[in-house]
Amino acid sequence: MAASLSTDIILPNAPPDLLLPKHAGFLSKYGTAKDDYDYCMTEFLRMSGMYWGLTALQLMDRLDSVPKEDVVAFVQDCFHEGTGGFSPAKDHDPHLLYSLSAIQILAMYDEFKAVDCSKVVEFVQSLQQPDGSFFGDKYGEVDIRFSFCAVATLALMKKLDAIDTRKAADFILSCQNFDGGFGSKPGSESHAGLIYCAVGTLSILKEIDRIDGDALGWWLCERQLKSGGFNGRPEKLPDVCYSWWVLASLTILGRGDWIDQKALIKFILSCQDVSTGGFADRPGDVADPFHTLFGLGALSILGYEDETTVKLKKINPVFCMSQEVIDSLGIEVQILPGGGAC
Amino acid sequence: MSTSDDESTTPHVFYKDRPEWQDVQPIPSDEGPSPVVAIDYSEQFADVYNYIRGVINTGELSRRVLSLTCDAIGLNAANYTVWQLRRDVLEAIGVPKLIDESGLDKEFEKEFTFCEKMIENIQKNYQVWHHQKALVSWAVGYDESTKTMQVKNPEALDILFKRELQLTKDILSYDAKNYHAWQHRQWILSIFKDYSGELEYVNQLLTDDVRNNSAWNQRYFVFTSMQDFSQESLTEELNAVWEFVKVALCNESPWSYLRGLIRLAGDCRPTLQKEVVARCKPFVSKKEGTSVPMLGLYIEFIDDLLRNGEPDPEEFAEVVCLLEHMIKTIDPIRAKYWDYIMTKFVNAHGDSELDKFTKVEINA
Repeated sequence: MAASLSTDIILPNAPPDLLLPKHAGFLSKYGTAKDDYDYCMTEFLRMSGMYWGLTALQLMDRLDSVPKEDVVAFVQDCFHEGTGGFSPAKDHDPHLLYSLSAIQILAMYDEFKAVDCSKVVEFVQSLQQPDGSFFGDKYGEVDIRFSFCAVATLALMKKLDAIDTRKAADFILSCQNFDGGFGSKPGSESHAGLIYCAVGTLSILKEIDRIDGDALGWWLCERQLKSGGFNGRPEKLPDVCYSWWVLASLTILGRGDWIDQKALIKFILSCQDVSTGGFADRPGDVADPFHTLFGLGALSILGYEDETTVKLKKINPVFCMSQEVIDSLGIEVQILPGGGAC
Repeated sequence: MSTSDDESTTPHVFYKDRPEWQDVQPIPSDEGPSPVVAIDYSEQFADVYNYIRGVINTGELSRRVLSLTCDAIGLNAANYTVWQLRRDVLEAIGVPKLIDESGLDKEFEKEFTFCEKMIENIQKNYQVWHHQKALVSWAVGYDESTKTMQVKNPEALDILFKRELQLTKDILSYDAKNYHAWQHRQWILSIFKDYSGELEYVNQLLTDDVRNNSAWNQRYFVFTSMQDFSQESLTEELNAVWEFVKVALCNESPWSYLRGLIRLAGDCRPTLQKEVVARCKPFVSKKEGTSVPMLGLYIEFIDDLLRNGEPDPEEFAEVVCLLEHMIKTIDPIRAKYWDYIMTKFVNAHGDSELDKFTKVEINA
């Protein structure tokens, strides 16, 4: 167990190597031999849970350990013909969050034909508001996360022209704060996860050059703590998921080398659960698929390799999917010219 | 598991065993053919959610469904479909009513209390806060598209305004960085268009914990709502903030705040930047100022001032020397960033004459 400080942690001595076979076993078991209570309690985000697990397996080249037909059938079951949206599980309401996860899963399997994609486009389109923002569903909550979901979903299907992309970008920019970061709505506090959504959306829309990469890059750099891990806001504890959100954002800004990459690798490796497999938020905590994907994703960006020549597939920093998939769809994202290459 | 106003059922009786529910056909969860998503529900969970699916199927919106949603929310408050069902029921049975000077309608009051209790129990759940927002919108007749309220009576509005400020204050007293609570509070301030007491609250939070970044964010929210960016107003704010700066020089939040504040200045920007640089100088020269965020801002402001003013070889040399220290000793984990700033700085200000001067200084 890692020792706790108020706003950082002290890492255990030597981090373990990257335990890919254990992580693959952890993820493929997660869907079958699961704890009843946890499984019940996470039904409301099942679709995203599948995307996290499957993407992580794909990065480890183990996607074949899950039967494709079952996954596609699950996604089809969660598709709402009437609205064109996807729900997290059957008998739940459709929402943009799960629609992106569903489309990401179908993209991984090259199975867009499994559903009527024109309906999905209409669903996303119907949620855009006059100010460019997006509702997450018909009930009207606005959040920058939903902008990312909307734009990424359409981009994967090559249907960005279905929405007002300029206004979508304008709304994102209206969420930028005095410190260079972004919050979930205009005025809300900057947060690394929401910055990722902002930067990702602008990258897909090819409008990333509308932000000052130096100012935001600095705020993101400041998230790295002595332990090597990143927090999501000042004075908060480090967490593996921020390794992804901060590093992916810096990468999109062309400034991924502004941080201490070796220290970050050490932090991420320390968050592995060496007995069960999987990654936890911090060393010694319980592992889950969410942190497992983001730990592996960050290691992939960092080009991590060890003496056992364990190698992860390359990840796309915007879509958080294997780069192969993004390439096969012929999608290009915009990366700011580097700030660190001098 | 039942809460608040709805009939409490202890010990718990399964819905399938309740005579008054015999007319509803429970619908078990159908997870499809996929073994990767098979679910083994707990018995009570399955029972409640079977009936939720049952009433969604028939479209029933009644008091007993309100009570059923209470149990379902108790079992899993993150299920947004159930919350929406609850709102549909509330509307259908006419619970939401506009507030007047005597307060909320009695039954509506119970719904507020129910939601407030849920918020206290699960403070970081999207659904509870979304529900609270819906209740407030109903109570004042708020129309998001026109940003107007149907209720105009100031006494009636004041009752709700104070209640919501108190609710968020209570939640922030548990966790002063709760994102949902802050968002709700900002929404309340903006729809009631009353920011008059907020700076005092922010000051109190910063006195409690000067490193509370959420409070710094709120400070900016309040300051900009006043729309006075004159030199006088900005200087007054700089003076107020400086009291917090001195308490913890390494605290990044006020330095970010100052950067943002001074960006609001028009023509008086250089004057304010000079003021901040002058205030930092004693800390920098005494070497007690190894505050990374302070030095970052200090360097940035000098860079700006040099770009817009006369070359100053001495200032230039000082910054180059400082940047060397940043890279090597003060902040090596961000060495690449400081390398970049150094290159930018030297390219902008270092002509050959200055370069010579710098080399001498650095070597000295």
